Amino acid sequence: MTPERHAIARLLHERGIERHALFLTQREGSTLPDGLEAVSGFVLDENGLVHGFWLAWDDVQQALTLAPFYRVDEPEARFAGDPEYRAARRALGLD
Amino acid sequence: MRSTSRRVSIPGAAILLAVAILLLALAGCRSATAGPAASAPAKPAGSVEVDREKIAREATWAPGQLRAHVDKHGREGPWASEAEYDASARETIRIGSAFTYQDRESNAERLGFYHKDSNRFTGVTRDGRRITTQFKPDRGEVYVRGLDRSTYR
Repeated sequence: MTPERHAIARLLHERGIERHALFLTQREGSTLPDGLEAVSGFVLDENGLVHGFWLAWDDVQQALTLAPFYRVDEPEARFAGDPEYRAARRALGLD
Repeated sequence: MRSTSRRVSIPGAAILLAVAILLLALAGCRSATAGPAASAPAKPAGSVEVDREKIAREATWAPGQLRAHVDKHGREGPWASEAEYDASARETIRIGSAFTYQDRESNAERLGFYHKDSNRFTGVTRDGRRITTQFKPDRGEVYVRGLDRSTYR
């Protein structure tokens, strides 16, 4: 697991998301103050909810954060054609 | 006996030479047609065959991602609006060198397009349906070459 992946999992845990799968993730080329690279993508949780996220830096807290972090409504319809979403669902036993 | 031995050794050397030439020729053909799994790393930029016009025309941003990317990367262009940023990403797909790489978090294969002159990098899912990013990497070519399993050369 990459340090970025580990940090994302920790921040998701702080938001109450435990078992999950990431999809459509992407390194964003920006090096954050702690040396990690910004990452964008989506997280599917075990209830089938999907959130978009960006691994970023909170200048006030001087810590990693997920910002923005936003819920995607109707993920089944909006990601219907995305193989990575389907794979994430299979990984969590949702399909 | 010595002269007989010498006469026999000359055709033997010729056969060995012929075999060596044949092996070299075969090796040359192999390196010219090898796919990505071959050990030879030299794969010229732009060698990934994709329908870039179709991707540039039809690929979409996943929900909320265009807005987020403009917020994070807008100053790099500078790209003042979602429309400008999106148009730039699609232009990079059309004119950039195409290559593949692997996303480190999901291990999914991605298509990359890098335009050296403008230092623009655009990422797309392997099926060409989603644009995953566009930005100007600080380290230019070194960055795209250093992506996991990058075929950019």
